[in-house]
Amino acid sequence: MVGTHEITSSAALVGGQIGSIDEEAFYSLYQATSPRLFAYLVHVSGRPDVAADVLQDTYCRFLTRKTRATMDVSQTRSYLFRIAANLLHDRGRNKIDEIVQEVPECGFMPNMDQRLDVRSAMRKLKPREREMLWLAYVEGMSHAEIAITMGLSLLSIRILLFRARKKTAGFLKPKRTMGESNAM
Amino acid sequence: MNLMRCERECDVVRSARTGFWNSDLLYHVKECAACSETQVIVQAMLGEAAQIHAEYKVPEEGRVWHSVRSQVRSGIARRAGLTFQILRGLSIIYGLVFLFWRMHNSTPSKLYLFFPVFRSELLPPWNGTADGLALIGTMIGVLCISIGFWVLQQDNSHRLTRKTNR
Repeated sequence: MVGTHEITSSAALVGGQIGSIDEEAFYSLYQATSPRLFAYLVHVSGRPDVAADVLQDTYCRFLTRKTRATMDVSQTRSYLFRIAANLLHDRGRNKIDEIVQEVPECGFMPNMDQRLDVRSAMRKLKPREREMLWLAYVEGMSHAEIAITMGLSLLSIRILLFRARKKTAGFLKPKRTMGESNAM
Repeated sequence: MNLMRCERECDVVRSARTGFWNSDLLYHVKECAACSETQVIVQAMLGEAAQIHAEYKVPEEGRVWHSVRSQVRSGIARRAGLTFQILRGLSIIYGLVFLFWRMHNSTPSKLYLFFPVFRSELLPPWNGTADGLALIGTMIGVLCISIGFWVLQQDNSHRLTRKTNR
C-alpha cells in the first residue's frame, strides 16, 4: 500500500518542475501512483497490454500539462485517473482495441471460485460501471471526486453507482446463495 | 436511508477497506440492505484488486520514463518540423522573387523572353544601391543558415555522446 507522505513528496517534487521533466521526481510519482492506476486499467480494460500502453500515455499527458504544477495530492490522483479514463474511452471510440474481458488463467487459490464469480460479474457490467465501482469501492473516492474524474454530474454518479451496485449484487448473489446451500 | 443510498455507505466502504469495524456499524450492516450489498461488493472488489496486484507487474519506471521522454521529444520535433516547413516555403518564395528580380535587373532585362510586358519600361530595373542591399541581405541569410546548422550539429553530437555514455 502506498503511503500518503510518499504521494505528497512526489507530487511536490513534480509540481516544482515546471516546463522540465525531472527523472527522480517522475520515479517517485510513478512509484506512488502507478500500481493503483495500473490495477484500475487492467480491471476496466481487461487487458494488461492495453493497460500498460494507456498507463504510459497517461503519464505522458500528465507531464506535458502545465496545470500539474499547481495540483495537490488528491487532485493529482484524480487527474491521473481522469486522463486514464479518457484515454480508455478514446481507444474504445476509435476501436483501437476491443475491450476483452477474458478471465486470465491463474494458479490455484483458496478462494478461486469467489474470484471467478467477481470477474464474471464484472464482465457483465459496462466499462463505465466498472470504472465507477472501482473508483468508489477500491480507491475509496467520494461521489464528488468520482464526478470530477469521470466528467459527470454528482447526481448522475449517485444514480449510476446505485444501478451498478444493484446489478453487481444481482450477479453475485445467486452464485453465493448456491455456494452457501451446497456447503450446508 | 433513501432509496438510492444509505448515509452510512461511506463508513461501510471505509471500514471494509481498512478492516476496522465498530459494533454499531456491524449491527447497521446487518439491518441495512444497501450497506450489506455494498459490503459484499467492496470485499469482492478488494479481493479482485489484490489479485490483479499479485498477477500483473506494473511496467518498469525506467521504460515508461524513456517512452514518455521520446513521446515528448517527438511532439517537439513535430512542432519544430512544422516551423521548418514554413521557413522552407518562405525560402522558396524568396528564391523565386530573387531570381525574378535578378533577371529583371540585368541589362537588358531578360524577362521579356517570358513576359512581353517587360519589353516596355513599365518596370524599371533597380539601380546599383539595390543590388548592394540585396547582396548584404543574401549574406545575412547565409550567415543565419550557417549558425542554424552549427547549432543543430552541436545538439546532435551532444545527444550521441549522451547515448554512448549510457
